[in-house]
Amino acid sequence: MKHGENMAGALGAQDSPLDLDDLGEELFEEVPRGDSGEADRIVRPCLTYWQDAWLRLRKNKIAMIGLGLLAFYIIMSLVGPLMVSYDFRAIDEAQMDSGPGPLHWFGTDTLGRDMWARVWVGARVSLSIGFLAASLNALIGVCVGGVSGYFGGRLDMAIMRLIDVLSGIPSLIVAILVMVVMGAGIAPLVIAMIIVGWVGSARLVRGQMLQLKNQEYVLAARKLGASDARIIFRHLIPNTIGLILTNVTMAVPYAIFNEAFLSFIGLGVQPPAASWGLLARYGAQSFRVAPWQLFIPAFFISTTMLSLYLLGDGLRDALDPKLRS
Amino acid sequence: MFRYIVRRLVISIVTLLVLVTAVFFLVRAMPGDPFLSEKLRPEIRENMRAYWGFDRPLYEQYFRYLGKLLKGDLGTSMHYNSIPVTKLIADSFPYSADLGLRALLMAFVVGTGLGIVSALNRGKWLDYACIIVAILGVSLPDFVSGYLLQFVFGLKLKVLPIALWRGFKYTILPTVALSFYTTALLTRIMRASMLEVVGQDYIKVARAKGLSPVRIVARHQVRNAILPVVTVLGPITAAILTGTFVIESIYAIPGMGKFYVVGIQNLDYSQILGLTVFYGAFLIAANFLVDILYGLIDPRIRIYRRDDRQA
Amino acid sequence: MPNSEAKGSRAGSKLIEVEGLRVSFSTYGGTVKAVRGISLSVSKGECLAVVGESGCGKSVTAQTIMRIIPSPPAAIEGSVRLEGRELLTLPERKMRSLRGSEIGMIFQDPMTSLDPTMPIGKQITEGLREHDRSVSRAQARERAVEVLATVGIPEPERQLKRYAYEFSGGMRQRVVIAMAVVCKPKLLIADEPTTALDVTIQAQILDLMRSLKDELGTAVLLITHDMGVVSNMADRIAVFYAGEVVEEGRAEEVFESPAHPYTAALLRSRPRLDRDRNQCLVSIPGSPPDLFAPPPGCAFAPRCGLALEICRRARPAGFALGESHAASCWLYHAKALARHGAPSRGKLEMEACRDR
Repeated sequence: MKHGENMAGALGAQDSPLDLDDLGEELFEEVPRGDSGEADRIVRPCLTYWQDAWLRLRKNKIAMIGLGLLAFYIIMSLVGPLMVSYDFRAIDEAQMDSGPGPLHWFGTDTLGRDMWARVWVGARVSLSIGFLAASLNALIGVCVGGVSGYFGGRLDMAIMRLIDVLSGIPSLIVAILVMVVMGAGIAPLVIAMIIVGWVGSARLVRGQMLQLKNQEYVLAARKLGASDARIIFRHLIPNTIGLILTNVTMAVPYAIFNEAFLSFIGLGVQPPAASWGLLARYGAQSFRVAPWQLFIPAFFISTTMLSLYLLGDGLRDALDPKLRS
Repeated sequence: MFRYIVRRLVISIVTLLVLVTAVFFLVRAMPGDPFLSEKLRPEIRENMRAYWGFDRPLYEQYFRYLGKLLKGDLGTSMHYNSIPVTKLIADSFPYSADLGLRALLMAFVVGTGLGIVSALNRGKWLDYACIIVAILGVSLPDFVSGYLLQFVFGLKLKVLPIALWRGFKYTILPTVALSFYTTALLTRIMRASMLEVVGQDYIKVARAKGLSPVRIVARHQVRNAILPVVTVLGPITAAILTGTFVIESIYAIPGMGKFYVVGIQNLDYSQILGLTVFYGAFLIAANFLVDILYGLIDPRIRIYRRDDRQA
Repeated sequence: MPNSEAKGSRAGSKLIEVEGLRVSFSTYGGTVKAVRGISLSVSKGECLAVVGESGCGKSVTAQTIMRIIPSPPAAIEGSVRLEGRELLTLPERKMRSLRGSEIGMIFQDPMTSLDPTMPIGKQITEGLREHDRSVSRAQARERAVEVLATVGIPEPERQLKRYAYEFSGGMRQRVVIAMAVVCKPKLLIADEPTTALDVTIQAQILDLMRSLKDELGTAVLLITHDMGVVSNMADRIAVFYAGEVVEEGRAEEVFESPAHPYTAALLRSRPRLDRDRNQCLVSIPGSPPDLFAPPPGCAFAPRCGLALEICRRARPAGFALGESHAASCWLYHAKALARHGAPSRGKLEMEACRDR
């Protein structure tokens, strides 16, 4: 056994809790059989995809800050205007351009309208345009891109050429023209952003579909006789949804940015209505005398975009199966 | 490669044609017409309409416009005493192009640079600093950064001129303001791409070959990581160009943006059409160049394109 | 560590020696002990096959030898010596000069092992010129052509300017091998070199590796989960399970008389041409242990049909079964042998997989 002991050192058994020089006979009994089920038991708790994603997201402090801030803004857009006694349209000539203070928390604008009320009413418009445009873009993108990628062939060819052409057209220019033709307002704003906006998500989803539809589990499902609809809804969409969700989160700030841009050059929402872009526009005109009129809406635009990006980053990390270990 | 270029060229031309057509009919679909606002007697108005050819059927106007366009004639402005639109562009576009190119160059160099630095120092304070700059940058719309920089450096610190375009000192604030968003965007893209590439097998292989870290980063990592950056150069050029509208108005730069906005306000058909077609053609050409560049950097693209043609 | 002088005297013929290697990673869920005290060695010109299922620590061991683990591990203990030089503590600059020149490495997937944006000729020569600055461009090119011819790529001069995507999977793996042997390394680590390839191509690549080993006298550390690959190539075999070596011996010893129930089960779970045509393929019940919390006893005990009480209590020592053959299994302890006798191969195979 001399050589054997040498091997014992080499193969490593140093951390044994038993006295290896004096092993009791009972230790060499064969163990009762028939409990190999034990070996198959899964020790760690079983989580669904969404539970796991939510746990991961919750651990990500930065993403949670983004989510919290966003939730705060949404709640404030509902209750904020009710917290002051001023109507957001009410002109007060005695209070023109007065700075932030106990009377008007965010000051007033050039016409003496209360900025606090206007900011939170504007939040309703800006946020709903942002979320609406981003989700509609994603919805159209998923349908077109999904069909194109899944079925392929001539249909895919035709759609891809259309996308090639559409994505070559500068989106804001088309949006500007659409706004001019349709007039200002929330609906034209959303439509203007959708006309060219769906192309990006369609491309993304198509690429994803092309990749996924040749995966073994999809081929297996098909060989087992699953219908196209079942494959699309049970296999392909659940595997793309994380990407789409992340994409929507990242598209919302882009839509808010576009709303702000269009309102800023005077094509978006018209006064006395309010949106953050519109407030920034009028704030910009008088920002040397009353800088808060620009910087307050600018602050809200920027922090909203910021929290959406932070949330989007966190979502991407939480939903990406590749990053799980 | 030749087939690939021809293919992209055909797509570009079709895109331009679609754009011209769409814009032509969109402009005509706008409510009102250019002479409605001026208090003209009906017969003079009719004369003006006849002079501009608006009494002809729409399709005839469309083909006449296409014919003129082929000769490089963008029509004449109705508002600015019949100055040719090409003259307006020739006078103002150099300013816009100067500003835009400076911003694009700065965004590309600084953005990819920060992205590389950030990815190479992953998890260290330098990385976090770059991430913070990048995330703030994409959260600031260009009109916000434009006014903010003007406010801080021009009005409060008084170190840089607050407006106009008369030499290098004047270009700093507008360029930084315009490139801020894109710089941040490229930093994010480049960082993510660098981190994606560093996990690839060929980087492991390069390390197993005993290459120095500098060489691995320069020859393998950056070269592969830059591909996604090149693909967004097209949209980024578009973003910078539309951004010039805003920045030009903040810093009173005599660029093309003003004519575009004024044209829309006056319903100046030929001015809107001409400038849009010019912008569109410019961006389509930029996209075309980006596609060619992409084909040069990534050898796979040539073959993939051929494959999906056969499929 | 007993018999250290014996080890010292053997070191002359050993090219690489790994001793008591432990590698752990810290992750979300805790610390993963991926490699738990592994010792192995490869002599000059020898091929050692490391066999085991996925996640048993094979690749981590290989990458630790090369010191190219992508995510930095929480801890590395033990020692890795190349011709007596300790590698784990070598300064990075010195280590770099060994990579590629003295130890070459081939990875599993040829489709992703080549840089898509660089012509293959350049990828072959850049390693060469990195290690020896005096090599001129023309000389490097010449050497690349030569090595491409060695690995069986037709018309090598014409291929230098081509890109990875222009080659088939088998051809790419040849290019990858060319890259690994261009500096004539003493040791070639092949991490599942044929797993991603078609069966016919697998045979070609194995033939190529065997002839390279014979012609260049390169030692090979072959990592695989495929017993078929092993039988063609290996001089010696080390069977890995859950981050440990459970059995080690010359190839014929391990094939002819597997001693560890896990080895027996592995051999049993592979189709055999020389047996009854109606044989059932046998799988091993259960799954490998969770390396976040490895069991206190033998890692294989929960799946083992021959497990004794002690197997669940203490990690087994290695027991020598011959001059070159050893298994770490309590069944070979003197008291177990006295009580139950030496397990026969038939018993090992049947009992190890008794559930089926």
